[in-house]
Amino acid sequence: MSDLIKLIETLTREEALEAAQNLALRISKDESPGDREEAVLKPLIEKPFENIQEIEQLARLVLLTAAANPENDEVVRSAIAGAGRKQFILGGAEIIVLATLGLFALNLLVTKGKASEQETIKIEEEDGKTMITVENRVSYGISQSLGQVLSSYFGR
Amino acid sequence: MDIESIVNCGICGHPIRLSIDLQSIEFPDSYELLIEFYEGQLNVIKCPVCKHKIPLGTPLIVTNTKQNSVIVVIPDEQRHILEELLTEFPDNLNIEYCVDYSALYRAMAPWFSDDVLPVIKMLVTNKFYDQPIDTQMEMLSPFVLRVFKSAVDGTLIEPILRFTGKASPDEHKRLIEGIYTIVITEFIRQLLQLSVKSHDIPELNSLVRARVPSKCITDDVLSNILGDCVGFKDPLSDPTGFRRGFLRAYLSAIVHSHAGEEDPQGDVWATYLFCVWKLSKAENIFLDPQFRLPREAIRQTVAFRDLWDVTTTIDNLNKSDDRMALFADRLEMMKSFGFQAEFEETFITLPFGIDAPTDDPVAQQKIGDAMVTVMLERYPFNVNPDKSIEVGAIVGGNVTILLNNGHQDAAILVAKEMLDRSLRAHDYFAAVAIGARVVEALNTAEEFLMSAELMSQLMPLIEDTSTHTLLGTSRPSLMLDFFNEMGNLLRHWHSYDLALTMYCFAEEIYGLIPEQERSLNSISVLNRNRAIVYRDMGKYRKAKDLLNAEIARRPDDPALLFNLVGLEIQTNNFEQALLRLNQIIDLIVDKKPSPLWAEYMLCRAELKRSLGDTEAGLKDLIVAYDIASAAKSNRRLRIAATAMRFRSDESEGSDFIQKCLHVLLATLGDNERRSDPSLILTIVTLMAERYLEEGTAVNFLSILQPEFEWLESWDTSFPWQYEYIRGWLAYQLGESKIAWSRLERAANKINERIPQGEDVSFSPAWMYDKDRFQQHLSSVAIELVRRDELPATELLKVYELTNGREIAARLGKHLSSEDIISGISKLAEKANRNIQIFFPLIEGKIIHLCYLSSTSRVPVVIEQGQWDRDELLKVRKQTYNALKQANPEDLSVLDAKMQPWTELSASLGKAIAPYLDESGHVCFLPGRDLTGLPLHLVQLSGGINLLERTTVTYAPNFAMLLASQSLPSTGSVAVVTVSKRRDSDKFRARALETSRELIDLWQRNCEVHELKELEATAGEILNVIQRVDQVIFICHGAYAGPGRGHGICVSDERQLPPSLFPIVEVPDLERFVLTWDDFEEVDSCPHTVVSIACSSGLTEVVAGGTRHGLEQTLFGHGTRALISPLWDIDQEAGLEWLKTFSQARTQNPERAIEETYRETSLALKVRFSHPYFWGSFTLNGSLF
Repeated sequence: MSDLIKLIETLTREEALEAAQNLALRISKDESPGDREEAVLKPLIEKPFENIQEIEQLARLVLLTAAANPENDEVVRSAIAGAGRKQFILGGAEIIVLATLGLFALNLLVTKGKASEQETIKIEEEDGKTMITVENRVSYGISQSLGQVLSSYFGR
Repeated sequence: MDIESIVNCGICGHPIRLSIDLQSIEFPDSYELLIEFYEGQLNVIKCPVCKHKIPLGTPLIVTNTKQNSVIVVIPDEQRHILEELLTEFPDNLNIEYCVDYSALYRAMAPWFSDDVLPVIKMLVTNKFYDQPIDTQMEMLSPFVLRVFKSAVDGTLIEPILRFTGKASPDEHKRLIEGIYTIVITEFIRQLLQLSVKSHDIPELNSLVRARVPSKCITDDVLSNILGDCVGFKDPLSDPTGFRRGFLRAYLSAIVHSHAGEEDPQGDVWATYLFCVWKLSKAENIFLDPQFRLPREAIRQTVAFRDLWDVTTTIDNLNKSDDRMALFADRLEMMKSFGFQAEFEETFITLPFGIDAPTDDPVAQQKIGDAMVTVMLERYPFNVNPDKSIEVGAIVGGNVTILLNNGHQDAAILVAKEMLDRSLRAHDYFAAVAIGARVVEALNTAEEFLMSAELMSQLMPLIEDTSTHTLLGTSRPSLMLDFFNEMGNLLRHWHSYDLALTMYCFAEEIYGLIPEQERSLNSISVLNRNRAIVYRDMGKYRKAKDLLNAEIARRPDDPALLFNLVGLEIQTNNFEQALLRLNQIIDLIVDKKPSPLWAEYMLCRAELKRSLGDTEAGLKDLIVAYDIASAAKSNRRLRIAATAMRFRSDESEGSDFIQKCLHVLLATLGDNERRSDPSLILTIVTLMAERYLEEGTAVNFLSILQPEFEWLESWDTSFPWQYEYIRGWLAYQLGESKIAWSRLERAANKINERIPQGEDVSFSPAWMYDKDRFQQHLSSVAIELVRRDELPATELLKVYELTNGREIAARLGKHLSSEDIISGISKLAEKANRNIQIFFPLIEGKIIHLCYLSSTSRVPVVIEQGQWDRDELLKVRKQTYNALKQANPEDLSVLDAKMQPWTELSASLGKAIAPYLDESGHVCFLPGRDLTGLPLHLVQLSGGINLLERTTVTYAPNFAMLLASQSLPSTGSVAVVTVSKRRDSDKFRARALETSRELIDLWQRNCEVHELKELEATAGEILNVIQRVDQVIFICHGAYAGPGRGHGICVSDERQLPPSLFPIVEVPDLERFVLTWDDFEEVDSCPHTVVSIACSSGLTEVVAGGTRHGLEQTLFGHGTRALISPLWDIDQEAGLEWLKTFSQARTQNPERAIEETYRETSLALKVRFSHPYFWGSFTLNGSLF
């Protein structure tokens, strides 16, 4: 396991959320999430605090997926380094923005912007646990509800 | 036996003298006394001093005939008193003596176990219904039912129901309550079946009352019985349905009246009774005698008003011309039902053709004359004072009836004539009573002109000292009522001070009423009326305090609650008002529709519209319109006028609006309505507003213009809304000068009314509904200045009224244009430099930047300084998001996303550049649309930021800019440091270390208060800031939701703020954030506030130009300089900025704060070159 992956795993929830936002903004550049992301995430973002575990999982998944590609090493580190530096506490509205951005960024990371490369993601149930596998590099346990969200979003 | 005794209270020792009788109880027939015994409440009194409950242990004889037993409770030393009595008892009687109630409890245990417990056990285990029906009916004695009720309520001394199993106590309670409801409901239904089978329907009323204790009839039981009702069925087309409906309505009426509750189906029951009576009169119909109920049963089960309403409705349907025949018919029925007294006493009006046409003057005269004749005959004057006062009540009652039925003319005739007659008869008691009651009725019907006329007739009488004294001393209650009504009338005429004086008189008279006759209700009514006056005077705090005190005493009083609704509406707190109003409607929902109900529905309609739910509001309005009694009543016309504010996409709604429009147009053509200019004013204003919004006002000028002229011939003291409508209309007609004059008048009226002083906390919300007016005012002003038809200095006044007016109210300052110009000149002179102020004004979709300098002294609208508002607001949002989401470690994303701002910044720079003076000071008043933008970083030619060129500060408006001529020296400082629960060790250590350094720095010259981590609670901070000159917050920032905006995170004493702050989802988190409204209650705030809490410099501008941010209350309470960041800043840079600033301030306290602020920012630029780091702080406040 690379030190970057380890670093991601040791991030606190707030740091992971913030780092994922930093990364997502960097990846998405001029593009922004649209209605589709909001619609798919609706079950989670209607009550973001209630579903904070799922949103945290999504944030870590974005970071891990990016970190799985050595080309992204620097941007991921920079996103993490920028987290936890502000005099601000994340509120509900910020968490919602972050979740939609995160999902949008995850799609960009997985597909590299090309729909034809969607085969790189698998969401499976194993022994009662939901697992997501990206490009055969990242394998990450997620909650069933996030699994449903991602399945619906990625068409799995 | 009658024993005089003194009992001492066991708690306070107060001696209570009592006469104790021997009490006799039959087991089980005296079931209410027995229940009191089993609940431990029998013969218990309350100490009048300490309210402690004292058991008396009064002697008792409990007889159980079935068991042939008597149990006597009597102290041993008193037993001899009974001996004589007991000799009269049969020899074979079992007599047992007990010394106290505990012993009695044990002695009666076998009876209870034999007669009660087995039945209750069967009931709860569902075995009861295995018994034959006759046995069931026999087993359920009233005593058993009452014990069952107390057992369910859990009020028995020793519970008889115990549950085992997994369910929670709440679940058990629900279960047993459900069983109880079924048992009682079924029992009552069985009683109905029993009476049907035994052909004893007429006696059902007596049977239910004898078999079911009234306390056993719960709301759920009533609801079940009510649910059985099937409405009214036509006896001719559906005789079976009619019979079933009759029986169920009868049963519902019985149980409701027995339980002392109003029957929601009372009108249906009245219809059945009326129908049965009609059928009994029909020659060719044989009516089953079972339908003929005893008079007592009818009187007990039907309300007179239901019966009256039903008969009126049915008579109206008959459309018979022979009104007198119908009346005679009705009178006969009322007599046979036992309502003759009510009919004759209360409704004298009836014989005089209540259904006569309301618009026929001859008919009105006839009704009035006839009624006066009958009243004079039946209720002569000068019999005695009590009879005279009764005459007042009778006249008032009849005037009310006439008014409610649309007979305004007849009502007024009766009122005037009866008052006149009483005065001529020198019956002053009657005169004052008529005055009070009639004015009450007329005020309720909004017939204020006539009220005033009657009161003026009475004034000589009241002013006469001897009469006044006679009335006041012999019948003070009468005078109290009179002055109260007088106050109400004056209130409606806006003579508020006089109204308060009248209430004062009334209160003084209350002191003359003998103590035993005093009713707290009178004082409550006076307080409520006072509160309304204070509310209408704009003294909201006093009004609210009075109302809340009364509501605490009577929380279920709809009238009181409604007054509070009025106050909330007047201050635009619509959500609160709607909550209260829904509470009121819940309270009255089961009652019959009344004029007051119409008022509530009208109000709710307006509230829903104000909250954006127009269609729902319109539905309420339609209900209100239908309820409002008479077609021509003022209330109904006001409802129709209110409909003009609504739009509907549904056919029902749009048809209603059209109907109202026709009603209003007809009213404007009706000369009779001219007697009430306030009504015409409401109608015309709301109609004009609709036409203006639709852009069709010009087409309706022929209707509106004569009305305006007529209104202005009456009075010129119109509300601001009228002036605004006239101004808006003139603007649409291209008459800009007239428009300005009208709008200016409206503006002045608004200025005069804004809550100030102790009411100032109401001012932010009060401004909300002035938004549209403000935008029109601004547009007209700019256009007229452009055309040279208005002095440009007026622009200053416009800015002031449209931006942060509530802050000016808090400062107690509303400045004229001259005040502003001279104030700025003085400041410039003192500082020996030019002061350059840039401020925006709105003209429709365009935002104009305006400029004023201390040298030119005349504002200009900058030609190059105009932008599309929508575009600008879009850029503002993008800039906000970009800055908020910036990654301090990698600002490349921020740079890309700030492109729109860069462009706007350059164009702003270009616009202001020609006006900039190198040695001057720049101040931005950002108004509505520029607030939140980093204007101090506007880009000038050569790529430099404005702050690099000169000192730059902000102020919400001119009032704040000029609030203080000098910044006092700093003698004491508070340093508040709070981290969040999961800050990294490094982050927390850095904050605490900086805090230490700052304390060391400031301690050299000042007294320093330190509030750190858990001790930094909201309460402690608010306490400390009142004692210091400067406060420094090293805290996190958080968004506290719409209306509260950005705030500063603090501890709650036990915990640090959480790491996530979803305040909308978890409102309880509010305790961890200080926002503008928290500073409302403090007496003073430090003159300088420095905060590094993220975005704590951001202000949310809402409708009316109201500014929700820390600035609002801090500035209102003495803060003159607020230094805080516009975005979420990097901690390291923020702390560095703070240290540099503090060093500079402590080293050179005399240096102007804006210089120190600028130098600090530029010093930071050396280490942190990006403006994200060095340019985040703004200096907001006064110039010194």
